[in-house]
Amino acid sequence: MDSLLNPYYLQIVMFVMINAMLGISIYLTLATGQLSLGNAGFMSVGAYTSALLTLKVGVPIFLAVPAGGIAACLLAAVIGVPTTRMQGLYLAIATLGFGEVVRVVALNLKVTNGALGLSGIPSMSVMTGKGLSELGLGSGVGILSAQQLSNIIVIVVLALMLACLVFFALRLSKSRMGRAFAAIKADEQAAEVSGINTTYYKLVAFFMGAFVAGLAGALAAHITFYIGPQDFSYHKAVEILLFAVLGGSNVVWGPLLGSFILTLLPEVLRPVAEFREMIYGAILVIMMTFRPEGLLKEGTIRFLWAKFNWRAKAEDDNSQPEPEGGR
Amino acid sequence: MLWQQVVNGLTLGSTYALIALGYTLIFGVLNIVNMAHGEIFMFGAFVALMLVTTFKVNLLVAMAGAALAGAVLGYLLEVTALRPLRKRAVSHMAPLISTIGVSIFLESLALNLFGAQSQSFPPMFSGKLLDFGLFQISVIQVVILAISVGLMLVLKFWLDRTKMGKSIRATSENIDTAAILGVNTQRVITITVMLASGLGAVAGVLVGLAFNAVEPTMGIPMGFKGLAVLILGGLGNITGAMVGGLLLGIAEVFSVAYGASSYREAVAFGLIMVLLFLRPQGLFGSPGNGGR
Amino acid sequence: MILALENVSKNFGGLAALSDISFNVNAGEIVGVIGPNGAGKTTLFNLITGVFSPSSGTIRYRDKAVNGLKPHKITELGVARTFQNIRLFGHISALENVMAGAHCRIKANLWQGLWRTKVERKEERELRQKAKTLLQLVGIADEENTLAASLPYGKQRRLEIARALAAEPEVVLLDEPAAGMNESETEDLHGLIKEIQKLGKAVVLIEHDMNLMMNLCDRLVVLNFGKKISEGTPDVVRENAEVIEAYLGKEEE
Repeated sequence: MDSLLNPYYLQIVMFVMINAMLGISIYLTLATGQLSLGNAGFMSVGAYTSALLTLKVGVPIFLAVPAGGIAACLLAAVIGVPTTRMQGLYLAIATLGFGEVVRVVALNLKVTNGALGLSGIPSMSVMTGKGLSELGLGSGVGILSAQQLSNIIVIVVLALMLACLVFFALRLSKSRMGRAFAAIKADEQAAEVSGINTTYYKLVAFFMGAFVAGLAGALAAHITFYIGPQDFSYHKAVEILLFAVLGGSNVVWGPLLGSFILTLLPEVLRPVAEFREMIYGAILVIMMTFRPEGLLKEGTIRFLWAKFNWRAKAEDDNSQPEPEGGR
Repeated sequence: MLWQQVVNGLTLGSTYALIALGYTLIFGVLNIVNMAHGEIFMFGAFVALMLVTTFKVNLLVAMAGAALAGAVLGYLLEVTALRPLRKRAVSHMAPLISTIGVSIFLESLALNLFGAQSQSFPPMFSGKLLDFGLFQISVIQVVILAISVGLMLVLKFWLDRTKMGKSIRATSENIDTAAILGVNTQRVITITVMLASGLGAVAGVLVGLAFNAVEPTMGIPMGFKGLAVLILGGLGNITGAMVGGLLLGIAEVFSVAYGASSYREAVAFGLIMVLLFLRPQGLFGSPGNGGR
Repeated sequence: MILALENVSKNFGGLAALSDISFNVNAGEIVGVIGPNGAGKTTLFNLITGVFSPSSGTIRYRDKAVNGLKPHKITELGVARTFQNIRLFGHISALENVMAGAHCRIKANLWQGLWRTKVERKEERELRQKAKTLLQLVGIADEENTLAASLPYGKQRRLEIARALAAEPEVVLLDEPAAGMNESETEDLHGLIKEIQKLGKAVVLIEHDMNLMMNLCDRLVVLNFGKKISEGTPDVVRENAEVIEAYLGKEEE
């Protein structure tokens, strides 16, 4: 029990959740066929905003985290408004550049502490721990120490947020707006003449993706104590992209699976760590050549659904895709 | 002072223009952005560095070697990451993603092969400055300007006058029409990718000389600048890439000279964000090109 | 008169694709647009639906000038179209394609969609029913769950018509709907277009099948090299010497 609940493993579990949220963020933008390479940049904006609000202004974490998402969303407007009118390539390049600009700005501002980054960011588990000791549970409950307990509480909170996001993405994909997204993804011009305001929905999807990325960044800041400009480089953007490319971006479950695999993969690949980026690169090329839609696509979900129908029915009905075409 | 900055800007800008030409040539023919261009550029710099330090060849030979290595990498890129995607109808984002894959593969390969530390060319030219009254220029700057401007002129001439050059331009105009007119488009594509990569590799050598630093991570920021110039000049516009590169060089040098030195890396994208608001088709594109 | 083109021209980089085109479409009428390849027929559709805006001239829908409006606005006003090269939403089902086509006729916002409010569920139910009715009308009711991309060619053409009708247009523009169809399929299409007319909608039709056009259309507009060379009932057009020379004579091979 103790070895399973050691802080290192618990932290990995937290990162699985954060990365899953990033997977959802890239899924939301890709749902309209737009490729955003700025999710690392948005993450960075969310992380710095939330960290600074808690560190310098003393805003409580539960308010600072959504503020991080909102800040990312506001900056997304600066890039999104001019680029969503144009072909997708512009958004890809502009978001890539945005990530770079954010990194350079964070590297140079005094308030972000330059290349050294911010440390001593209020941590969610420490805060929870404090709350627990105020409740008189400072010495733990049963076999769980106070530290383990607070880590577990943080994990539960993250899991609930992730569940909300998954619920959101699933409901969205079955709604009027989700159909508009799917239509734009399939054929933008045909969607436009079918009466869908493509510019508007592309912008909405881009904002949603930026918001979720900002949120995930803010949460990450409050898990790690420390953030620096190099945490949100081009390589992070590529890693997030990889979630969607490997898992598949046509269904919500795709990027979730991708983020799960790619967060655990480095742990498995530890002996060959120096080749990790090469392996990532190779995965991108191979996926694009042999299975551009990713591991999971609509057909896969339908097939799995049919096969495990009896079991899925017994579980939660809401968060599962419906038999007639989960997207 | 002003003229000095302009000369420095033009020297730097001429290397950016050379990088951007690689992007724009490939975009013209294939309608894709080659995200691995920056890493081919970086490999070019390392190949020349090795030739100069280990094999003691002179700089021009080393540059030819780098161009050759770049062309070979370009060929491999075309065969592994681009050609297979053309065979099946995939989303237009697919080549972007697969070349991103190649880019991080090459960067990591370079880290493993050459190590992370920055290396520099042995001193080959005297540090003496040539004084022209209005401005001073170092020998190395003259070399950089001469080679990059010379290559651009040769390229322009080649594209305008030779049969292959004309085929490339026809394919850029419309690949289907070119195919109907008897152009071997497969060959044109391969040659364009190789040519663009060769140019990129030479640009890598020049930038390595200019900053006196060659390192595996140099491809990403330089690649970004090339991308910025690609948008600045208009996608697929060869003259646009040349002028855009020079403009970016001057803008960066001025931003350094007048205070904002630490933001120099952000200047490129600051420029394109402003541009996208005001003139989405690029400085030299005709309206409508940026539409869809 | 529901749709009116007044002296509409379109240039592409100095090349005149269409020059000085004027004609009207009345409610409930079937108007055919004919002319050799490259005459500017599809460009005409692109202008009417707002994909391009005209270089000069005015396009009116119910007396309201629509030039410069975005395509989705024009669809919302009541003009829907199909494409010469079928452009469906391939990775979603036939039914969802039709439902997406009705986008501008339903209201549910994101919030209602998330919580599946009573209003939203009612709207979706009715929409689903309407989409099924439309699939039935075009004769592919049994394919509602098939992904659009896996439908056979003829059914894709029909689905595209159903998607256009879902936007509840007053004017439907059909771009070569019979292309690639055999004789009996073309016969069915003839019936379908008549059905659409019976719903009170005007149809503007581009088609090369002269037999179909002569039998089906109330009026024909003939284009050649971007100019209108004739307009009138099929009988009148058939007699027009210029038309015979420019078009009918050449198309016989």
